[in-house]
Amino acid sequence: MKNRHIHPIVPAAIGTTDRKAARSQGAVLPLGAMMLAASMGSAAQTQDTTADDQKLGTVVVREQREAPSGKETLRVTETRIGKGQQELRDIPQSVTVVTEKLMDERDLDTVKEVLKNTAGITFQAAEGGEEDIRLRGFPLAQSGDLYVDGVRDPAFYDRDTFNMDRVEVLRGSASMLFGRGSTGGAVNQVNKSPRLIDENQVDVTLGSHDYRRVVADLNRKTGDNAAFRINLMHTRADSNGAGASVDKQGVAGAFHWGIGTRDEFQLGFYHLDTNNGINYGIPWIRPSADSPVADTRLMPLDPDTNYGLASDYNDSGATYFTGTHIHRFSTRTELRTTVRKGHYDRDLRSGAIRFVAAADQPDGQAVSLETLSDATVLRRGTNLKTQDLETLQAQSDLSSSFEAAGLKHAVLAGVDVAREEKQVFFALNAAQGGVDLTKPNTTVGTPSDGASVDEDSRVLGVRSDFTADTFGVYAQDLVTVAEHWKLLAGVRYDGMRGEYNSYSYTGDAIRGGGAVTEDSTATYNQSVYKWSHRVGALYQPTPRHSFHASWGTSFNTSGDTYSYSAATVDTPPEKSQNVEIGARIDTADRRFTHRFAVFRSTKLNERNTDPLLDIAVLTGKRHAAGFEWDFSGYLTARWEIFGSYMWMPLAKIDKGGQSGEDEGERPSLTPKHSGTVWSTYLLTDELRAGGGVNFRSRQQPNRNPGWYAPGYATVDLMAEYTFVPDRFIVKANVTNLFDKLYADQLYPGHYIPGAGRTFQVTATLKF
Amino acid sequence: MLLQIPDVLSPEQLATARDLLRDAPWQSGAHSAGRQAIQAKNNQQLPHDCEAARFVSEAVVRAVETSALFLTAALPKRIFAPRVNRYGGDTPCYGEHVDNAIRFDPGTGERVRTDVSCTVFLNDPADYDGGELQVRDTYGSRGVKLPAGHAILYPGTSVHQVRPVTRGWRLACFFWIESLVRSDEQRRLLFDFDMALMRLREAQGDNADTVALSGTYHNLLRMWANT
Repeated sequence: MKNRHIHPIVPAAIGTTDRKAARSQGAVLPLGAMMLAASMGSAAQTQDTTADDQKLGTVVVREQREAPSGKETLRVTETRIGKGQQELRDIPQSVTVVTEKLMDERDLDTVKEVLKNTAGITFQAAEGGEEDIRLRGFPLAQSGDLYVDGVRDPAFYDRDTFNMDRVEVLRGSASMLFGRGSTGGAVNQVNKSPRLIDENQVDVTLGSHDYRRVVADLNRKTGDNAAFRINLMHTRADSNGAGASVDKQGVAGAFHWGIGTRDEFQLGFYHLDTNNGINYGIPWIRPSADSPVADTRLMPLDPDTNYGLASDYNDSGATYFTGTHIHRFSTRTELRTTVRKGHYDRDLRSGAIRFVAAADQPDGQAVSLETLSDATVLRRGTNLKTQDLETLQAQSDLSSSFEAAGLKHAVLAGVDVAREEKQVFFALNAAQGGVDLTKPNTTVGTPSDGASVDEDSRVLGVRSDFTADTFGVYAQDLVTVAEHWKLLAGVRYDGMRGEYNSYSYTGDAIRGGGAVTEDSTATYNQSVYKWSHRVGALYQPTPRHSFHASWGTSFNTSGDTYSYSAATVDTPPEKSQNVEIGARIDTADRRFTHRFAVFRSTKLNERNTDPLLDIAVLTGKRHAAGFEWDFSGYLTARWEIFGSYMWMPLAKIDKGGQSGEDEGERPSLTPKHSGTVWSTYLLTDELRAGGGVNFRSRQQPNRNPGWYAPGYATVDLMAEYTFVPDRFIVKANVTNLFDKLYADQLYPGHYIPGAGRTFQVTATLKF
Repeated sequence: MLLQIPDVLSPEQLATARDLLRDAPWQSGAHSAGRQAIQAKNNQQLPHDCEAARFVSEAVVRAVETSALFLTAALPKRIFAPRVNRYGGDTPCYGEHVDNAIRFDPGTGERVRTDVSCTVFLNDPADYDGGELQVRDTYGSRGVKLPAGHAILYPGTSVHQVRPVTRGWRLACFFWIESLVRSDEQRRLLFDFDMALMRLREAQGDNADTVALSGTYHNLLRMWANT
């Protein structure tokens, strides 16, 4: 026995007669002992070889490496809205996440509808598009506050949810993360990502107004750590329930490989094409000619009423390619790099609807509810919006957690660069070589009268172009300074160079009062360099409780709307800040989460541009303060609920502006109460029923014209029946059950109503 | 996890061992300690190639290799040759220390990762005062003093010490095991699973459910073991 210092395990045969084993264990042997003995050829192993081999495949360890999908949950614990992958409990700001599951349950086809299902969001009208979103009353400006997968998303197309895994709303100033913009907050749309599973789903929806929608979501695992996913969508409807027809299709695909390994890649493309109609709006009305302005009301009309021309349309599109690479230096350090090339366009042909003057009405009187009749005459204006945008964006985000000097750090740092080139077109008039189209009037009794003009005959010229080159560098550290305590500090430096060319034409009457006699160009340049900050503290006494306090800043450049004028080119950026304290609390079973925050958002020097009249709206300083409460998850195994509520008792223009929103007033589009609740209950194993409410209290249109759009609540219901589990499911939805008439998007001259009652039935096939 | 394994050595083996150890060439234990441990180590050890050491070592290896309890708890891949030591007199204790993660055997050039430590007590607690093996694990600190022939398994990752011996001599054999399953927590889960399943099989005999559970045990092992 030389050299038996190291003994490879060469057990002597052990069996039930082994003295010690028998003494300590009785006749049956533990599996571990049996296996190790049996490995040397003992006869001890008696039973399990074949069973084991068959069961080998049942343990799938890899699943855990993938993030949970928004298809399966209302409650979310992780997000990338803070740039790196982070636990929501470590973000010291108010966040609401709408998952694909909630979108499906509530039948939310557009991002606008999704946002309506979160608290604090309101909509300004005028452009018929989604760029006019307000959060806490602050505009989510065109270039600042909407993101797709953390990359800035130009705001002027009608977004669809067919490829969304979830939509995340971060409230309060966050320029430290995103750069310019984000005074009210930021909205991040998270695209679906290929998963390591073969999974296919087709949804077919039929509904009111001849609504037809087909969405296919096909996912295929193509290798050990590679997968491909494609989503297809086609939707048509005579109306969206509020007077605008729907015709859109989209395709999005991605190939994802190296999933969970050291180097992970994803290549994706996205294409959305909409050819929708548009309801530009309905004029406000007063009870009688001498009623006070404050008595202004909605027209007593079906929300589906549209006084536009048959030739009006609202086309938009988005096409982008995205490449993402994640390099993992270790399990705790990763570098994520994203490059996106995008093209976006919009072509909107419509016009504001107004009552013609008293003299031109059949009864010769100014229009009020007293005089309103089917014969009341409306004129149709011309409002066009034709523009396209090219973007090239690249960003790298490093996230790392490590220990240094005895403290735990979680660091996020990154750089981003972007070039955005926007062109805005206009229609030349006859004097300029185009056409002058005259739109016929209509009457209240003849909506959708079928009249049209030849929009195709218009000749377009370039009105302006805008090129912005931006870069940003940021770093943030979340330090665990003591047990249960984390401190967060972040800083970002932004640079932006904007060049704006505005072109005037012979006979130009649109800009410059018609005085221009020769073609000319006005060029404006602006460079902005700006620091943004965020600091916060988190107290996390248990894994279920997280309390936070934070302060952050943001800035908006005057180039955020992709235009300059002599009046704005030298305007320094607006500065804002957000202060909040809040908490995120999970129940003991971790299936239900509350999030609370008390906030105060302050814009220190405000400038705004009215999108219709092209006037500067400088309101100096304003603030909004209130309380936010979000909750989501399972109350019992069968009862799931999602809610988002904002109470904003304080909102005020602190320092007066020029037009409308005067010092001391409550700013426009800031309802005191806003929010939503949605709940489902599994009645039997097959049948699930759900319902919800959306509500906003009264709010003034922008520029505070002196009246309020009334508050409203709409009720939605849902029932879902599972015919074959995980195979075939049918779901029925009623949206706006009581057919509540309300103003959804507001403007001083008109409002766009929210959709009336609609029914939809969706059949879901999974295979 | 701390686990007692009773009766690793028989009374006859113990008697022979004690006879051999009485006249063995004891040395200071500081030779085999790492730099940090050397300050804490104050005991005596046998050269591993002497007759007494070889007898004890081989007896212990033979015994644990056939101990179902040992095998299933430690899930051993390799064992670093057992050594023999004693505490008492001027060399009464071994202060708090952790074992080197890797043991290198100059004779064979092989390395063993010290996942599990094992101490086999060679004389009775009545023969000495003090000398408890004190192990700090996630459940706190516990002192262990076992009858002759019994062994204790404890995680190599733990901080442990031998309390000063105030009367007589404490004789023991100690060694390390590189386990198929590196993590103490996982080993413990597997052990608890295995033991509970064994009792189930004893009570009910094998059926479809115990076969399925056995499959799960093996799949867990597949997941966690490095062979």
